[in-house]
Amino acid sequence: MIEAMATSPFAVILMIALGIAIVGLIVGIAAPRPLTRERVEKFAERQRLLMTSVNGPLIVAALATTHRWRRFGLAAGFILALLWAMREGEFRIDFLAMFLGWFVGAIVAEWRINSPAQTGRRRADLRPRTPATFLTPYAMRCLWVVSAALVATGIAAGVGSIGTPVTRPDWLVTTFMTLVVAVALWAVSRRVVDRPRPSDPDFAVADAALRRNSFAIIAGSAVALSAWPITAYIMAITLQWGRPEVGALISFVGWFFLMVTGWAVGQQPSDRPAEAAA
Amino acid sequence: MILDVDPASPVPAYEQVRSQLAEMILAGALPAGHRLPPIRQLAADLGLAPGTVGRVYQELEASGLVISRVRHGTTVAAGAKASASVKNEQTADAARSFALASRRLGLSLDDAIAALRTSWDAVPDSH
Repeated sequence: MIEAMATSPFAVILMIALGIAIVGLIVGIAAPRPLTRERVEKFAERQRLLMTSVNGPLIVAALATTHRWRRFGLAAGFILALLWAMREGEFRIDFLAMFLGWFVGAIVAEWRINSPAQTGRRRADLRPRTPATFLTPYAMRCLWVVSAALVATGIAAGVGSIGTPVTRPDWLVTTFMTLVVAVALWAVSRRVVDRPRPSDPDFAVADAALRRNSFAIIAGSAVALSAWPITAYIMAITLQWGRPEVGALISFVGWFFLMVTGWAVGQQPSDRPAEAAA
Repeated sequence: MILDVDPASPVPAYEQVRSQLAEMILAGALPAGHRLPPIRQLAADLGLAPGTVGRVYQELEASGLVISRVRHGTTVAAGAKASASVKNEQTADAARSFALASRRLGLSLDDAIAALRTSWDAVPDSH
């Protein structure tokens, strides 16, 4: 139907107008805009950070970068999924694609955040930084539980799919995409951990708060994203048992539970005040 | 536990890092088993090349002060803490250097002590 429409002048004008509207939408959503005071205060409260005239600009710049790229990713995910659906002759809002777009935007933002330029004396803390340095105990527990569930369901679905032409390709695709996302999460975690620590104590405190915030988002995203492969594996397992309706019910509950838990992990306040030595 | 590197100092950055780490280990400020930051992390924080920090760790290992193991990182070696006599000797050397510099500048004892007090308060606690 779309191919037939594309031959008429009206359709061409419509497509051009749609393209301009889409570009305008992306630009409008992702355009730089000042952060609201409320958003900055919420960050400071969540991270138990005392904002000063010295570290304030650093915080505002980093938060503006992350918000801009997340908005861009969300918009891009929405639009790409819509175009893909239109290609198949459908009109569909894909929330998973929007979330994936937001997640990719969040990762890009973390790569773009740099430590402030430093001159003069340099100081280094002799305590190694790891992701655990910046994660709350609740986030760590959630990640461990979700990882265990992912591995267990993946193995069970994989073993069950051996010799099964119906579920084997899906298992391979799901596992491959899961590994890709896991590698992306690992890479961005390394980027956040290895970013140079500012020497100025005021900057260092703000930097620690920003890293905690980044890891809260990364951990929350990981928990929420795990909903896709875990429910896919559960569906495959129940399909192999001949009980797909059970899989559908568990998947529905699982999606909701993991999305809410992921959001809670991302929004959880810091368990300790931001300090220079972290 | 903070390392401090002054790029304007005539002492090479490598030697500043090595000597500070050695002093902290011998003084017991870095206890046995304490894991040092990975080379890339310490290099990034100090603005040095990873090879420079790697060389520091190698020399500290050659001196028996640290142990490096694959996947376990670099840790402070057991028994690396200096004896009381070595600490006293190092303290006496530092005091003598300070006294000589103060004499050359024509400072009185009170002025020298005041300058020492100011620097003592300004230098971060490395414990």
